[in-house]
This record gives sequence, structure tokens and C-alpha cells, in this order.
Amino acid sequence: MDAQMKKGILEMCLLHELSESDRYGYELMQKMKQYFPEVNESSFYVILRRLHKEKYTDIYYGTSSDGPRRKYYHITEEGKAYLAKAVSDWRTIKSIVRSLGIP
Amino acid sequence: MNTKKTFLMRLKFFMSCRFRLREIRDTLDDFNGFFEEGIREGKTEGELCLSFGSPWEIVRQMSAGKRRISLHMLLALLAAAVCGACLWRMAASPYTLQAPSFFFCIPVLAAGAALLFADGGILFQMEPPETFSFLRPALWRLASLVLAGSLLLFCQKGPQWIAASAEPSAAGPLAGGACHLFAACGAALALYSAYAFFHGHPASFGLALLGMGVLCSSYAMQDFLHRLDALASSPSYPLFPCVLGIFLSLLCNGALLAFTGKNLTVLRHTKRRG
Repeated sequence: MDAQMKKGILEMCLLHELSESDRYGYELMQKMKQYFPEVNESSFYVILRRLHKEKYTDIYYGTSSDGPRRKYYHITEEGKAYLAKAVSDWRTIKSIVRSLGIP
Repeated sequence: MNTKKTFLMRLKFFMSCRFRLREIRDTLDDFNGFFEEGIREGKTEGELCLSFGSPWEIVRQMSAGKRRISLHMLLALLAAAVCGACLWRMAASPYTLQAPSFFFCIPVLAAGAALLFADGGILFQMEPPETFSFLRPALWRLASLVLAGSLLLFCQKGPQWIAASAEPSAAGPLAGGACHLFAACGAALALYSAYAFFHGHPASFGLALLGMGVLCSSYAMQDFLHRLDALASSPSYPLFPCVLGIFLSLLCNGALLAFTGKNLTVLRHTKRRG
């Protein structure tokens, strides 16, 4: 897949995951890996890092009962707005591609 | 050799030129956490390294969209270049610094090359071959050994050089004190280089190198004092190049200090976490 296209799609998927519930980094990486087995795990980390830098996510620390201190990511209002825009762009592209006759 | 330790070390190495300390710390903390989680799930360090991919690739992706040459690298390369030039000038000066002083240039130039290697890999989008990751600590050890050797030579020869270069009028208590100070500094730094040898890490080597830079600029200062004396006796002596030389060497030592100081903090941080 083209790098630019992949980047946009992965960003959208990651933000969508976060909009459903807060997650910690490792969990998110493992989950995304199931859907995109050919993408390297650390690529998700790099995207997550960039999303945080753009202030689309917040970070807070939580502890599990038996585990280490975990860094949780939470989607911000800016993030939600960005996600909504990304989804609508995606829908537009999808409908254009469909109308061209590509199933 | 795919262990958590080497993975984090390589990650830090490639990040050290391009990112701020806070960013490096955060990233190292994050990956440390991922390793902990993975190990709790029963995976081995080797498997985890494989799934995270190469540290070089991670840093390359992270630095996408950044300026291509980091300011840090420019400063450090300038430092290495001017230190080398300063040493060369000393070697060519009339104050009887002989050919062995070329020997001092080797570690300084090695540091410049190492920086080019760390940052240039990202800059030129070329991943250093995997074999270099085995060689690298060995390279640092070799460089620190050369540094230790040249410093020992320096503390043996340096006082003689100063004594020989002193004008009869200046060869008073000042020159004598400077000689002892030089010898002591050189010996301490040689010891530190030996420590760097066991560590095999760029940060510790960098610090020893920094010490040598300071020693050189104090030599330049000494040289300056002599020139002032000479100026008093014959007004045609070139003062300006000498002052410029001292200024540049102090500036570059500052840059080297910033670079090594930062690396050292990162090094301490990882040691505590690891």
C-alpha cells in the first residue's frame, strides 16, 4: 500500500479505536496488529506518538491490580473533530471509487 | 543478540542527535513498558524485538517531516572540526609541539565520524548494516583506548612542552603551576577514558573527549598568555588569530558539553530503568 494512503488510514483506525474506549499503548498495538498483520507494531506507536503531539489524544497513567503502571490514551475534542473529518473524507473516496465501477 | 538492552541502546543512539531529551526519555519509557507487557504475556525479548522492527526504522519514521540536518549534529561536527584544527595548529605552532600531537586528533575526528554515523544514517536514509551493531561498542572501546593513550602521552609530554615553550620571563610560578595542573587533568581524564573503555558507550566516550577539549582550550589559553608576553616585547606579533582560536575552542567545548551532557543524562536514565 502507498505510504501516504496507509498513514491516513491507520491514523483514522487508531483514532476510531480510541473513540470507543481509552487504551494503553501495548494493547492498542496488539489489537491493530491483528487487523493489519503486514504493518510493523512500532509503526502504530509512531502514529500514536504523532497523534498525541497534534493534541488529538490525552495521556493519563493508570495501574492494573497486578501489573505495571500503564500509560492510557484518551481522545480529545480536537481528536474527535479530526476523526469525523477523516471518516467523511474516507466515505467520499469510497463512493467515488464505487461510482467508477471498482467494487 | 536481539535483547531489550541492545534494542533500547540502539534506539537511544539513533535518537540522541535529533530529539530533545524529554522525547527520548518518553520513547525509551514507552518501549520499556512494551517490553514489560510482552514479557508478562510470555513472549521472549527476541520475539518482541522482531515484532517491533529495527530501531533505525522507528527513528526514521519518527523524524519524518523534521529538518534534515539537526542543529545538534552541525554543532557537534563543528566542535570536532575546530578541535581538530586547533590541535593541528598547536602541532604547527612554534611552541615546539611535535608530531605526536597529531595523535590527539584521531579521537576527535573519530567522534565526528561517529556522529555522522548516528545521525547520517537517518539523514541519508541508509540503515547501517546490522553487523555494525555488534562492532559499535567495540569501536567505542577502541576509540577510548586511543584517547587514554594519547592523554597519557599528553600528561607526560605536555608539561615539558609548556616548560620549553615558556619565554624566560614567563617561566615563573605560573608556568610551573600550569604544568602540574595539566599533568593532573590529563591523568584524571586518562582514567576516565579507561572507564569509558569498559562501558563501551558513546556517552562515556564523549565525556572523556570533552575533557580533552577543555585541556586543549586551556593549552590555547596558555599559548595566549605566551603570545601576550611576546606581544609586549615585539608589537608585530599576531594577536587576533590567537584570540579567535581561543574563542572558537571555548565555543566548541560548550557545544560538546551540551551533546555529551545530554547523552549522559539519557544514559543514567536508562540504566536506572533497565
